[in-house]
Amino acid sequence: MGNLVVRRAVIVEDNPQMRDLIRMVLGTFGTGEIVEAKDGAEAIAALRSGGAEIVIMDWKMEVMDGLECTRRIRAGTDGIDPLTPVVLLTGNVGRDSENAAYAAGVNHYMEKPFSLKQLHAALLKVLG
Amino acid sequence: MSVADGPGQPAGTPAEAAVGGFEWNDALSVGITAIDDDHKAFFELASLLHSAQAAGGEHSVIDSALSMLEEYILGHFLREEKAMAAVGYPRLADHQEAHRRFREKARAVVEEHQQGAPDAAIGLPSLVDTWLRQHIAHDDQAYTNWISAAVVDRRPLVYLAMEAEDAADAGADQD
Repeated sequence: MGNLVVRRAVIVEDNPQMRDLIRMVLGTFGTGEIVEAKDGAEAIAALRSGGAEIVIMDWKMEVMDGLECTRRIRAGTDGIDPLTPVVLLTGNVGRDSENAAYAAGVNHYMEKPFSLKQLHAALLKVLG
Repeated sequence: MSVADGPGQPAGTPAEAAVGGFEWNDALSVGITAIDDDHKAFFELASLLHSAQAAGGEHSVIDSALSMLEEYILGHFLREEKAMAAVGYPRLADHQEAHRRFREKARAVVEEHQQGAPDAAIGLPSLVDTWLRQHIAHDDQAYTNWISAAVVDRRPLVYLAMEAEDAADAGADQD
């Protein structure tokens, strides 16, 4: 199984306990810097200021949701690298949700709840 | 030496903070960073689960935390058992038995939760906190005269968890 080395990750999630869980998991993978955002607008600001090797993105959030944030990343808004990998981790379910997420430009779609193994596999997939 | 499991919680009771406050401290150190880090992660996860339950119990958070807890258990127990086996630790069998009993107790709680029993996992954070403190003090400290960092698999916990799962699946296939 491949080893992950991530220098900087951004977690975009409005539920604080879920943010903490994701941060714990990224920490166990040895992620260097982990930035937390509670909505898509905060995520754009974080990416503008420092970029990221991976974004773990929730979907339903106030101010700016995960799909809109992903579209703006893909558009290269504010100089953000449009190729920034995005893993969407959502409470939505079903094929329609999955299709909408990939249409917005996410690299990998996952439904909550998640496990260490699943998130690791997602990161391996999008980071190669 | 084996350690009794911690007390359970009656159904419908609010989650109570653990006596130890879900916090690691220097007195719990076994002197090996990888193992101390695993222990710290257990306390942090128990604290998170407790907070999620106290905040109203959003299912995706609790279900994720429970999955992670079982993976942490598998991975951490394997890390310790591999190190003990590497040095021929004489109490390995007893230690493995203590691990097995706790792993099965946690599994039973998670299964009950997955089957929809309300508040099935309410007592789990306290159980983890209590059991882990006692286990470190009585069982883990006993191996510190035998194992050193050099024999400990220091890979991130997720890899140990997957290795443990693969071993369990292989064992099941042979039955």
